[in-house]
Amino acid sequence: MKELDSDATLTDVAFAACTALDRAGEVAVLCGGSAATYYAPEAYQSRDLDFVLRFAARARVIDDALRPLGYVRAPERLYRHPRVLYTIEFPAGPLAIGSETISSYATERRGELLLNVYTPTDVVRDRFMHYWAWGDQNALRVALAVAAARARDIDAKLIEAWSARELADAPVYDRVRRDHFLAELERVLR
Amino acid sequence: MIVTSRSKGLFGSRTRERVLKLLGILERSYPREISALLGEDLSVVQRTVDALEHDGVLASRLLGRTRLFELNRTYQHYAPVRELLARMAQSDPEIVEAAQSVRQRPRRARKEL
Repeated sequence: MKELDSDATLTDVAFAACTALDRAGEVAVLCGGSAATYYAPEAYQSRDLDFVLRFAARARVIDDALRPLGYVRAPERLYRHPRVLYTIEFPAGPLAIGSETISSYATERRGELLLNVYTPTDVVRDRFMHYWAWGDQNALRVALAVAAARARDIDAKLIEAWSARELADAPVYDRVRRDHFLAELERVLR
Repeated sequence: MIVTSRSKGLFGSRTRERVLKLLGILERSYPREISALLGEDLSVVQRTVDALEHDGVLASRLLGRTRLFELNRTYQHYAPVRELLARMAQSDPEIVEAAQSVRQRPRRARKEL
Protein backbone atom coordinates (compact mmCIF):
# COMPACT_ATOMS: atom_id res chain seq x y z
CA MET A 1 0.00 0.00 0.00
CA LYS A 2 1.26 3.49 -0.77
CA GLU A 3 2.10 6.20 1.73
CA LEU A 4 -0.68 8.60 2.70
CA ASP A 5 -0.46 12.23 1.58
CA SER A 6 -0.77 15.25 3.82
CA ASP A 7 -4.29 15.95 2.51
CA ALA A 8 -5.62 12.54 3.63
CA THR A 9 -8.94 12.79 5.45
CA LEU A 10 -9.84 10.78 8.53
CA THR A 11 -11.87 8.46 6.31
CA ASP A 12 -8.88 7.99 3.96
CA VAL A 13 -6.67 7.05 6.91
CA ALA A 14 -9.34 4.76 8.35
CA PHE A 15 -9.73 2.76 5.14
CA ALA A 16 -5.97 2.59 4.51
CA ALA A 17 -5.06 1.51 8.05
CA CYS A 18 -7.88 -1.02 8.40
CA THR A 19 -7.01 -2.56 5.03
CA ALA A 20 -3.29 -2.71 5.85
CA LEU A 21 -4.07 -4.43 9.15
CA ASP A 22 -6.50 -6.81 7.46
CA ARG A 23 -3.81 -7.81 4.96
CA ALA A 24 -1.51 -8.47 7.93
CA GLY A 25 -4.13 -10.83 9.35
CA GLU A 26 -5.48 -8.46 11.99
CA VAL A 27 -9.16 -7.54 12.30
CA ALA A 28 -9.41 -3.96 13.56
CA VAL A 29 -12.67 -2.12 14.21
CA LEU A 30 -12.94 1.68 14.16
CA CYS A 31 -14.79 2.94 17.24
CA GLY A 32 -14.99 5.96 19.54
CA GLY A 33 -15.20 9.52 18.29
CA SER A 34 -13.50 8.64 15.00
CA ALA A 35 -16.40 6.32 14.11
CA ALA A 36 -18.75 9.24 14.83
CA THR A 37 -16.70 11.41 12.46
CA TYR A 38 -16.97 8.70 9.80
CA TYR A 39 -20.78 8.82 9.90
CA ALA A 40 -21.29 12.53 10.63
CA PRO A 41 -18.14 14.50 9.70
CA GLU A 42 -20.00 17.79 9.74
CA ALA A 43 -21.00 17.22 13.38
CA TYR A 44 -17.69 16.12 14.85
CA GLN A 45 -14.08 16.12 13.67
CA SER A 46 -11.96 13.66 15.59
CA ARG A 47 -8.20 13.86 15.13
CA ASP A 48 -7.37 10.39 16.36
CA LEU A 49 -8.53 7.07 15.06
CA ASP A 50 -9.32 4.43 17.67
CA PHE A 51 -9.10 0.88 16.42
CA VAL A 52 -9.86 -2.05 18.70
CA LEU A 53 -8.24 -5.27 17.55
CA ARG A 54 -10.47 -8.33 17.68
CA PHE A 55 -7.53 -10.34 18.99
CA ALA A 56 -4.42 -9.05 20.74
CA ALA A 57 -1.56 -8.53 18.28
CA ARG A 58 2.16 -8.07 18.72
CA ALA A 59 3.30 -4.46 18.34
CA ARG A 60 5.74 -5.47 15.62
CA VAL A 61 2.89 -6.78 13.45
CA ILE A 62 1.09 -3.44 13.75
CA ASP A 63 4.33 -1.52 13.13
CA ASP A 64 5.02 -3.48 9.94
CA ALA A 65 1.45 -3.08 8.68
CA LEU A 66 1.27 0.69 9.22
CA ARG A 67 4.83 1.64 8.22
CA PRO A 68 4.17 1.58 4.44
CA LEU A 69 1.38 4.16 5.01
CA GLY A 70 3.93 6.42 6.73
CA TYR A 71 2.74 5.74 10.29
CA VAL A 72 5.36 5.10 12.95
CA ARG A 73 4.88 4.11 16.60
CA ALA A 74 5.45 7.02 19.00
CA PRO A 75 6.51 6.65 22.67
CA GLU A 76 3.03 7.61 23.93
CA ARG A 77 1.50 4.36 22.65
CA LEU A 78 0.08 5.75 19.45
CA TYR A 79 1.08 5.96 15.81
CA ARG A 80 1.97 9.24 14.10
CA HIS A 81 2.50 10.25 10.48
CA PRO A 82 5.00 13.05 9.80
CA ARG A 83 2.61 14.89 7.45
CA VAL A 84 -0.89 13.60 8.26
CA LEU A 85 -2.90 15.31 11.01
CA TYR A 86 -4.54 12.17 12.35
CA THR A 87 -3.01 9.78 14.89
CA ILE A 88 -3.92 6.11 15.26
CA GLU A 89 -4.42 4.41 18.62
CA PHE A 90 -5.28 0.89 19.71
CA PRO A 91 -7.27 1.03 22.96
CA ALA A 92 -7.44 -2.18 24.94
CA GLY A 93 -10.24 -4.50 23.86
CA PRO A 94 -12.66 -6.12 23.82
CA LEU A 95 -15.14 -3.97 21.94
CA ALA A 96 -17.73 -3.02 24.52
CA ILE A 97 -20.36 -0.40 25.18
CA GLY A 98 -21.29 -0.26 28.82
CA SER A 99 -21.18 -3.84 30.06
CA GLU A 100 -22.16 -5.28 26.68
CA THR A 101 -19.51 -6.90 24.48
CA ILE A 102 -19.89 -5.90 20.83
CA SER A 103 -19.45 -8.79 18.45
CA SER A 104 -20.87 -7.44 15.20
CA TYR A 105 -19.85 -4.38 13.22
CA ALA A 106 -20.23 -2.90 9.76
CA THR A 107 -17.71 -3.55 7.01
CA GLU A 108 -17.65 -0.73 4.46
CA ARG A 109 -15.86 -1.02 1.11
CA ARG A 110 -14.18 1.56 -1.09
CA GLY A 111 -12.73 -0.13 -4.15
CA GLU A 112 -10.23 -2.67 -2.85
CA LEU A 113 -10.12 -1.04 0.57
CA LEU A 114 -12.23 -2.04 3.54
CA LEU A 115 -13.17 -0.51 6.85
CA ASN A 116 -14.59 -2.32 9.86
CA VAL A 117 -16.51 0.21 11.92
CA TYR A 118 -19.14 0.36 14.66
CA THR A 119 -22.65 0.39 13.23
CA PRO A 120 -24.44 3.77 13.38
CA THR A 121 -26.58 2.45 16.28
CA ASP A 122 -23.46 1.46 18.21
CA VAL A 123 -21.81 4.83 17.55
CA VAL A 124 -24.91 6.53 18.96
CA ARG A 125 -24.96 4.42 22.12
CA ASP A 126 -21.17 4.66 22.52
CA ARG A 127 -21.31 8.46 22.41
CA PHE A 128 -24.40 8.44 24.64
CA MET A 129 -22.48 6.23 27.10
CA HIS A 130 -19.94 9.03 27.52
CA TYR A 131 -22.74 11.49 28.26
CA TRP A 132 -24.39 8.99 30.58
CA ALA A 133 -21.25 8.18 32.53
CA TRP A 134 -19.58 11.58 32.63
CA GLY A 135 -22.31 14.08 31.80
CA ASP A 136 -20.31 15.14 28.73
CA GLN A 137 -22.57 17.47 26.76
CA ASN A 138 -20.47 17.27 23.61
CA ALA A 139 -20.84 13.48 23.55
CA LEU A 140 -24.62 13.92 23.80
CA ARG A 141 -24.57 16.40 20.92
CA VAL A 142 -22.51 14.03 18.75
CA ALA A 143 -24.74 11.03 19.59
CA LEU A 144 -27.79 12.96 18.46
CA ALA A 145 -26.00 14.33 15.37
CA VAL A 146 -25.04 10.82 14.24
CA ALA A 147 -28.62 9.68 14.91
CA ALA A 148 -29.93 12.54 12.76
CA ALA A 149 -27.40 11.89 9.97
CA ARG A 150 -28.13 8.14 9.82
CA ALA A 151 -31.73 8.12 11.07
CA ARG A 152 -32.78 5.17 8.92
CA ASP A 153 -30.00 2.98 10.35
CA ILE A 154 -30.68 3.69 14.03
CA ASP A 155 -32.36 1.00 16.10
CA ALA A 156 -33.92 3.10 18.86
CA LYS A 157 -35.63 0.12 20.46
CA LEU A 158 -32.29 -1.67 20.80
CA ILE A 159 -30.79 1.40 22.48
CA GLU A 160 -33.72 1.71 24.87
CA ALA A 161 -33.63 -1.99 25.80
CA TRP A 162 -29.83 -1.97 26.25
CA SER A 163 -29.90 1.13 28.47
CA ALA A 164 -32.64 -0.46 30.59
CA ARG A 165 -30.43 -3.53 31.08
CA GLU A 166 -27.46 -1.33 32.02
CA LEU A 167 -29.56 0.50 34.59
CA ALA A 168 -30.81 -2.76 36.05
CA ASP A 169 -27.34 -4.31 36.22
CA ALA A 170 -25.45 -1.23 37.32
CA PRO A 171 -27.61 1.40 38.98
CA VAL A 172 -24.55 3.68 39.16
CA TYR A 173 -25.70 5.49 36.03
CA ASP A 174 -28.07 8.44 36.11
CA ARG A 175 -31.65 7.61 35.14
CA VAL A 176 -32.45 11.28 34.43
CA ARG A 177 -29.70 11.52 31.80
CA ARG A 178 -30.92 8.32 30.15
CA ASP A 179 -34.53 9.57 30.02
CA HIS A 180 -33.37 12.91 28.62
CA PHE A 181 -31.32 11.20 25.92
CA LEU A 182 -34.11 8.83 24.88
CA ALA A 183 -36.55 11.75 24.58
CA GLU A 184 -34.04 13.70 22.46
CA LEU A 185 -33.32 10.62 20.34
CA GLU A 186 -37.02 10.16 19.67
CA ARG A 187 -37.25 13.81 18.64
CA VAL A 188 -34.38 13.64 16.12
CA LEU A 189 -35.60 10.36 14.65
CA ARG A 190 -39.18 11.58 14.24
CA MET B 1 15.58 -17.21 58.53
CA ILE B 2 12.04 -16.31 57.58
CA VAL B 3 11.56 -15.07 54.06
CA THR B 4 8.30 -13.32 53.24
CA SER B 5 7.29 -12.89 49.65
CA ARG B 6 5.13 -10.00 48.54
CA SER B 7 2.02 -11.20 46.80
CA LYS B 8 1.29 -9.66 43.42
CA GLY B 9 -2.36 -9.86 44.37
CA LEU B 10 -5.34 -9.99 42.10
CA PHE B 11 -4.18 -7.15 39.87
CA GLY B 12 -0.69 -8.33 38.94
CA SER B 13 1.34 -6.03 41.17
CA ARG B 14 1.16 -4.80 44.73
CA THR B 15 1.31 -1.15 43.64
CA ARG B 16 -1.53 -1.64 41.16
CA GLU B 17 -3.68 -3.20 43.84
CA ARG B 18 -2.94 -0.47 46.40
CA VAL B 19 -3.56 2.33 43.88
CA LEU B 20 -6.86 0.78 42.79
CA LYS B 21 -8.01 0.16 46.35
CA LEU B 22 -7.18 3.73 47.31
CA LEU B 23 -9.16 5.03 44.32
CA GLY B 24 -11.93 2.62 45.35
CA ILE B 25 -12.34 4.72 48.49
CA LEU B 26 -11.27 8.21 47.39
CA GLU B 27 -12.98 7.92 43.99
CA ARG B 28 -10.49 10.33 42.42
CA SER B 29 -6.95 11.45 43.09
CA TYR B 30 -3.74 12.56 41.40
CA PRO B 31 -0.36 10.82 41.21
CA ARG B 32 1.43 13.06 43.72
CA GLU B 33 -1.31 12.55 46.32
CA ILE B 34 -1.45 8.79 45.68
CA SER B 35 2.31 8.62 45.98
CA ALA B 36 2.30 10.50 49.30
CA LEU B 37 -0.58 8.52 50.79
CA LEU B 38 0.80 5.12 49.84
CA GLY B 39 4.49 5.95 50.37
CA GLU B 40 5.23 4.80 46.84
CA ASP B 41 7.71 6.40 44.51
CA LEU B 42 6.02 9.04 42.32
CA SER B 43 7.42 7.63 39.09
CA VAL B 44 6.15 4.15 39.99
CA VAL B 45 2.67 5.55 40.69
CA GLN B 46 2.78 7.53 37.45
CA ARG B 47 3.66 4.43 35.44
CA THR B 48 0.97 2.44 37.23
CA VAL B 49 -1.87 4.90 36.59
CA ASP B 50 -0.73 5.40 32.98
CA ALA B 51 -0.84 1.64 32.37
CA LEU B 52 -4.25 1.33 34.03
CA GLU B 53 -5.52 4.19 31.89
CA HIS B 54 -4.18 2.52 28.75
CA ASP B 55 -6.00 -0.67 29.77
CA GLY B 56 -9.21 1.32 30.09
CA VAL B 57 -9.60 0.70 33.82
CA LEU B 58 -8.85 4.29 34.85
CA ALA B 59 -9.74 7.54 33.15
CA SER B 60 -8.16 10.93 33.71
CA ARG B 61 -8.91 14.56 33.07
CA LEU B 62 -7.04 17.78 33.63
CA LEU B 63 -8.17 20.07 36.41
CA GLY B 64 -5.98 23.13 36.05
CA ARG B 65 -2.51 21.62 35.80
CA THR B 66 -3.39 18.52 37.79
CA ARG B 67 -4.32 15.22 36.14
CA LEU B 68 -7.07 13.59 38.17
CA PHE B 69 -7.53 9.85 37.88
CA GLU B 70 -10.61 7.80 38.71
CA LEU B 71 -12.17 4.50 37.73
CA ASN B 72 -13.29 4.67 34.13
CA ARG B 73 -17.07 4.88 34.21
CA THR B 74 -17.29 3.55 30.65
CA TYR B 75 -15.06 0.54 31.41
CA GLN B 76 -16.95 -2.64 30.60
CA HIS B 77 -16.72 -3.96 34.16
CA TYR B 78 -16.94 -0.60 35.93
CA ALA B 79 -19.80 -1.41 38.31
CA PRO B 80 -18.52 -4.79 39.62
CA VAL B 81 -14.90 -3.59 39.78
CA ARG B 82 -15.95 -0.47 41.69
CA GLU B 83 -17.83 -2.60 44.19
CA LEU B 84 -14.99 -5.11 44.49
CA LEU B 85 -12.38 -2.40 45.07
CA ALA B 86 -14.50 -0.67 47.67
CA ARG B 87 -14.87 -3.97 49.56
CA MET B 88 -11.19 -4.82 49.25
CA ALA B 89 -10.20 -1.34 50.39
CA GLN B 90 -12.49 -1.35 53.43
CA SER B 91 -10.86 -4.56 54.65
CA ASP B 92 -7.35 -3.15 54.30
CA PRO B 93 -6.59 -0.99 57.38
CA GLU B 94 -3.54 0.57 55.73
CA ILE B 95 -5.60 1.83 52.79
CA VAL B 96 -8.45 3.00 55.02
CA GLU B 97 -5.99 4.95 57.18
CA ALA B 98 -4.37 6.51 54.10
CA ALA B 99 -7.75 7.53 52.72
CA GLN B 100 -8.89 8.96 56.06
CA SER B 101 -5.99 11.39 56.04
CA VAL B 102 -7.48 13.18 53.04
CA ARG B 103 -10.15 15.80 53.63
CA GLN B 104 -12.81 15.28 50.96
CA ARG B 105 -15.71 17.26 52.37
CA PRO B 106 -16.00 20.89 51.26
CA ARG B 107 -14.29 23.65 53.15
CA ARG B 108 -15.33 27.27 52.73
CA ALA B 109 -12.56 29.66 51.64
CA ARG B 110 -10.83 31.57 54.47
CA LYS B 111 -12.54 29.37 57.07
CA GLU B 112 -10.47 28.82 60.20
CA LEU B 113 -9.37 25.22 60.78
